[in-house]
Amino acid sequence: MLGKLLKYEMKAGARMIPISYLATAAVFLVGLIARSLKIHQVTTATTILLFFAGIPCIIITLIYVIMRFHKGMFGNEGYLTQTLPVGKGQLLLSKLISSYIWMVASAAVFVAAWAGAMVVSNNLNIMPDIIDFVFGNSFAPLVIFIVVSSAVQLFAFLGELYFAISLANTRQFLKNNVVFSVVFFFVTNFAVSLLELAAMLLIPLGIKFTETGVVWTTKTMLGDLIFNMEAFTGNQPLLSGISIGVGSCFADLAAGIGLLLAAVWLLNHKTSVK
Amino acid sequence: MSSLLEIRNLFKSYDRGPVLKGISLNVESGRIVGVVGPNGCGKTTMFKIIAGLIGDYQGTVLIDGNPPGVKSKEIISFLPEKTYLDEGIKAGTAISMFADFYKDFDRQKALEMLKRFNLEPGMKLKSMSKGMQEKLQLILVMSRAAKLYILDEPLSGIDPAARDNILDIILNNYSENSTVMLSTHLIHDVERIFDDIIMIGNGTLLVAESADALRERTGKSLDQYFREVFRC
Repeated sequence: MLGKLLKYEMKAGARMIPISYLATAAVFLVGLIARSLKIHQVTTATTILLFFAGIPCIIITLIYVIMRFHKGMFGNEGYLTQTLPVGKGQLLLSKLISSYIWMVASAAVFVAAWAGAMVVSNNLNIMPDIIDFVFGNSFAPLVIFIVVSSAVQLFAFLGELYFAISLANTRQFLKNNVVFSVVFFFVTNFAVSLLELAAMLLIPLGIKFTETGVVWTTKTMLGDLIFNMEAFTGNQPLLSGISIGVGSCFADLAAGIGLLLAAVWLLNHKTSVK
Repeated sequence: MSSLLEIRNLFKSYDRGPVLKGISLNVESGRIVGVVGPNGCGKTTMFKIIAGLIGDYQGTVLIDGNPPGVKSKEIISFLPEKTYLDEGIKAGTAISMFADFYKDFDRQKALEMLKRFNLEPGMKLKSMSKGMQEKLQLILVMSRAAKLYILDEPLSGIDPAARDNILDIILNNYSENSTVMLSTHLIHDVERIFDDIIMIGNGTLLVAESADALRERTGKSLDQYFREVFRC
């Protein structure tokens, strides 16, 4: 059943989201043509447009993700969705997976649009030099860290979103469910951010960017920060390299799972379709 | 007779106050049950609880021995008052979707009914009139071989000429072992099809008996009795 649910979720997204991708591709194409015809004003304009083209893609996807969950579970469409012979967990999972896929696709378009801007402005060949100058040999591990960290953050974000909307559709808040969805989202987001920060500082596992490359460390990030602050005030040598606690990734993962389970419980026991 | 639906002490409140105040009733298999009552009396809320759309209620609701959930949804075919299909969906796609999700859905039957009511599989919901949309939803619901059909106001918004068509769809497409629960304000138009009648007023159960027994006991038609009970 999950596969069938996913099929219809993806189809629903495909009716709306790829339009922004096509628009981005069209701008890129215009930029390429303008470059080959040496129409400099158009080339400059499309380069600037491509730098910002990813933002509407992500905003449109975000709006879709929110509306799809809200309308699909608690709006008129909820009368169909919630009477299908599938568990609420599967319903939520299908929405989570499809939202995740669309969000990742939009982020990829965002990155591709930047690359497209570099191509149109004929600056792609200088990118390796810039990367090498700024990141040195830490570039690949840094990208991996950012990708992994963003992946779990997106998971936690969707958990926050689904939990907030579900909670806002319980009896006490049903009358103003849209307002309460926003309030609950920001409160949940703030709480998860605090948890992330605490886990990043206190869990004794991290990666350290040094001159020779990236290494794992089993010291807490807070410990390193305190050591450096004391060393700085005592005029002692500082620790070499910058360490980042990876505990925040575990915190995001745990928060995402917890919030999704809470949302399923609310859907099963406390929510009503208006 | 076996009890297909069993409700015990069902309570449900909204912010504005209680809507269902301890309703208890049994519905047996193979019956057409009229559920009547004035606006806001709790009919739709009771249907939504049975269909699994409301989770926070007090009391016991058992459908073929199971509380509202995956198992009950496999045997309930629910027609809400609202249009629940996406306005961009085509009739044919909606049929495919129901065929995907419900094992008991008869695609051929749905396509035949579609043809009979002059609806094309390629028609989008947004290009249909309200009456056509309601017919499509009813076709989807009645193309299932469900044990319990719950039809919430299937005749509202339908012009008098088309009401007989809607009743035809219902009467010709449910199996005799299944039960139809149908709520309506238009009692006069449909009372002839009811085997049993459930009358709800102000969240409480006023009547739950066979339609013939009520007519015999009161000497009135269901419509006349309804008007007498709920006279302002």
